[in-house]
Amino acid sequence: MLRVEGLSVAYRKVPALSEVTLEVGEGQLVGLIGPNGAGKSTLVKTIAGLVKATSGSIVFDGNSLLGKATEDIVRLGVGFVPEGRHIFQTLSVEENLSLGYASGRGFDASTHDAVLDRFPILRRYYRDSAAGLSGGEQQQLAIARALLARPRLLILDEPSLGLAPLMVDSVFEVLVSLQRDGVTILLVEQNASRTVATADRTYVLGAGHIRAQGTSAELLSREDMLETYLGKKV
Amino acid sequence: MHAFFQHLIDSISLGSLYAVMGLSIALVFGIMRLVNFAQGDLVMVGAYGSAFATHAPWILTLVITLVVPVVFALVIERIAFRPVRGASDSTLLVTSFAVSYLLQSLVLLFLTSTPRGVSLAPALGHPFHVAGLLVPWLDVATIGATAFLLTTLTWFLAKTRTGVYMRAAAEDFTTARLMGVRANRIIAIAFAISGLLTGVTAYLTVAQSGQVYPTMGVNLLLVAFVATTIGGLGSLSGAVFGGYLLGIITVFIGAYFPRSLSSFTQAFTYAIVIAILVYRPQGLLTWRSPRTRV
Repeated sequence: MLRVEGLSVAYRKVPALSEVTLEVGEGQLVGLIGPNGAGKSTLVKTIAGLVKATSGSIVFDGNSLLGKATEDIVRLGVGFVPEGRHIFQTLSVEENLSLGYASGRGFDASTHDAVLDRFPILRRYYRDSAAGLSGGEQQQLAIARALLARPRLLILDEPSLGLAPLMVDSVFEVLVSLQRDGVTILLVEQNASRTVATADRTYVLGAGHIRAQGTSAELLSREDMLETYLGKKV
Repeated sequence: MHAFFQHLIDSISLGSLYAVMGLSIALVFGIMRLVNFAQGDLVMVGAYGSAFATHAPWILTLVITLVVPVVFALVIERIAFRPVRGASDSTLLVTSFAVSYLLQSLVLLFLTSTPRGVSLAPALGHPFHVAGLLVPWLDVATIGATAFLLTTLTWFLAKTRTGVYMRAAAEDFTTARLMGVRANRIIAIAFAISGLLTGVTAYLTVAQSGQVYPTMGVNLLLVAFVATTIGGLGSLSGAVFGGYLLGIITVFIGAYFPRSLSSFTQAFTYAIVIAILVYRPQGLLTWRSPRTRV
């Protein structure tokens, strides 16, 4: 569904990504982990058309995404949950959710109900200002907003960042249930152990390079991965 | 007391004009983080539109005065501002000055620098008496038009999907695009609405002053920019509030200051503006600093 191949990105000639290759198949939950500054968010921004690539290709469902405007990429069926949630603080919960229809797919009552059933807290605060929601609730709103666009691929950038452990559990539970419902997911996370345990396949990014990739079992069997990226003593 | 109410009506009328103009600046600034200094010249092109259509039926004159700045605003956005979107503050500022001078120069080139007399809606110039006060119909039209525009714009931004997308884009443009909001469309709508507001300003200004000339928008732009700044750049309600506040300050200083100090009226007005900005540099109705430009 999504294929990133040989992607390189540089900020003012300083390389941020070098020859990154990654694939997300239909129905998969693929993880991308790595420390701060590894280039994870740069990769998401490049897929979103917010950062220009110096070389390589990004193909989604047969369409090249490079050179396309962000909104056109979203309209092809890629949904984004940006890092830091980026809820519109001056809008109500309802208005934030209405942004889910900006991708041109139109209002669909059954999707709307299904999304609110998944996140009942949003129904409760529907008419209230989104600024009053807690961090976890805002994350639910960010995911719900992206889901209303009925994306074929959902890309989440650090959804557990800054959340209490219980809320992190709930976010990962939502992701698993979304995948069960057929949503394809690219999960970009710093929470390496949870991501590796949840994803079908995980890529490890370090200093702009893909350092490793594999299933949970494959990555956990590598001592260097355990020590360097998963924080486990061997 | 009688004089006080007379000045109050005058100040509300003047404040309305500043508020509409300030709103047109704030609308574009809210989304693009661009202070469009060519906005004053859109008033000028609208005013020339009214001058050319002055002998047409009044409704046609009004429509032409409103439509011409909208068309110019859209063309300017497409030709001048879209190519530099996302550029630095200084690039955008220089672009807006360049557009401003270009419009003035075009008028100088093809028309003339001599002010042209225009009799627009002369009936509005007549006053009527109410409770001992002398109220020009033009003040009523100005206040009424402003109230209508503010109400309609508030409804549009709050109740329509495009309005909500515009508010979202004004708060965080990049995230709005990540949701699929079309950047070009939203910015074009902001420019079109701001053009319409300048068109209204143009009609009321010409009806008031009775003349058009190439630099007529410059001073109005400056005053409206100051009004927007004291209200809080980027805040629509701040622009309206700032416009009315500046109208009140201007009229009351002019009315109540000793005659010997009358040549310093503007100096005192801006001294108050400076004091406000020293006290609240972010403006009176802004609580958060603006986000990244687009």
